[in-house]
Amino acid sequence: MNILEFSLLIFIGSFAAGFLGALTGLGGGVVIVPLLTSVFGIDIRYAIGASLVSVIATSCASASTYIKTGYTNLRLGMFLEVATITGALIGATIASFISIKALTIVLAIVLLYSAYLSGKPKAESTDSESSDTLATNLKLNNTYPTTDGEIAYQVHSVPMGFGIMAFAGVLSGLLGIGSGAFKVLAMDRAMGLPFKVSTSTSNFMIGVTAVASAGVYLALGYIEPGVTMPVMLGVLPGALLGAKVLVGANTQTLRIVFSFVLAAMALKMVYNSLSGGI
Amino acid sequence: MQVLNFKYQDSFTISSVNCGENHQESISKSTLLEIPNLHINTHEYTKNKSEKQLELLISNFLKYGVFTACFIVFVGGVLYLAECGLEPVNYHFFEGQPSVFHAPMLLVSGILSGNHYSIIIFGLLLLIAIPIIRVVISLLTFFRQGDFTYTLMTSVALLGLIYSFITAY
Repeated sequence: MNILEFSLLIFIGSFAAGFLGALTGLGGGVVIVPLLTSVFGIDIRYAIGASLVSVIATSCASASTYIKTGYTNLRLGMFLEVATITGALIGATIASFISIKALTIVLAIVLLYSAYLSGKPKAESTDSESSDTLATNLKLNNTYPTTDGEIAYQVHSVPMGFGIMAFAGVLSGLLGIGSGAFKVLAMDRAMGLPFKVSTSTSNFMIGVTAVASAGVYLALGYIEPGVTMPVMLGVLPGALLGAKVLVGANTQTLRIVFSFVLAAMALKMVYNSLSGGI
Repeated sequence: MQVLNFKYQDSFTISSVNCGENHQESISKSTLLEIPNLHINTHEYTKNKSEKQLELLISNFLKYGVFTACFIVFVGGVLYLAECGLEPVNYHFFEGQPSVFHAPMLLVSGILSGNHYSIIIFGLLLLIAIPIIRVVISLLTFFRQGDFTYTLMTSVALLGLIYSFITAY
């Protein structure tokens, strides 16, 4: 196979990954890394580098749209960024000395967990009474638009959310994924935010979190232009199209199918890793 | 729960639009995103004007930034495929890439001479710069508003990013 064919195949695969990632709310990164390694046989370090870049592109492009809809809580995003950036610096440093086998296992566990989260229906938090004093002092409480007008919401358990975010940052730096699943977990479950607010704010932060580990990846030579180019150019339009289709789509069946696909890819990666290949 | 969720997603669109029966419609629905936006803006009373301005500034900056970076990577990619498209693939084994940090001038001369790798890398660097500049824009805005808590916070974020590039270097 020559480079032209290979790049085109990666482009198509990345487009599909971006599309599915956006539809299921998991983000393209978590699909791209196993796709590039287990289907295309690319070294996991190149895959992580390419995924990281595509995560930055997708996050910036979709954050631009989300901000205009009024769901994104900029202050909350900028506050939690401090946690994710710190985490990403730690994660990228670990990535520079961890063995490929360990990296593969960590990725597989994250994939399985994402698959589990993806198959589960989302619980909408409606509690809007007591608020964290820290949240009030930091002016984190805000409103979001619904068909009935603006609805106010309160932010809870700020320290807890901050902690989970730092962990999400570590995974992001380690695996080159947006780890959107963990970010949403922190904001949905711990901080009790409305689903749309947590998704779009998480999206807003993913770009800057990824950038925090990009410096390390560039220095280590993980970002191979030939691999990154088709991945980035494929994931971005795929994700944008997915986000548009999502507005009117019922994704429950897709989510369940997708979580099985993720689980299968995770198991294949572990099998390959343990049996000696990459 | 899914029904709730679905209804929730539907709140994006104006009520007069039919639920998407085909692909075409579901795409055209999303192009109507701008309409409820206008509605939101006129009923906005909790976010003050400067906050709105920051939102708009960041939103536009991200949009144009990403498309510029992608365009440059695309140009580099076309040149790359035109030149080496017929060579065999070798990404199975990790070799590491020459670091641009060690030879920044090589990048500049590469771009000027139309080297495809240099153009792709330039596009990627531009993309990486976008979130960093976004943090700088927020920092300046908060500073001008006299919001020192957030000035401090965005400064810490920016220092973290700068630190990551310094250690990498």
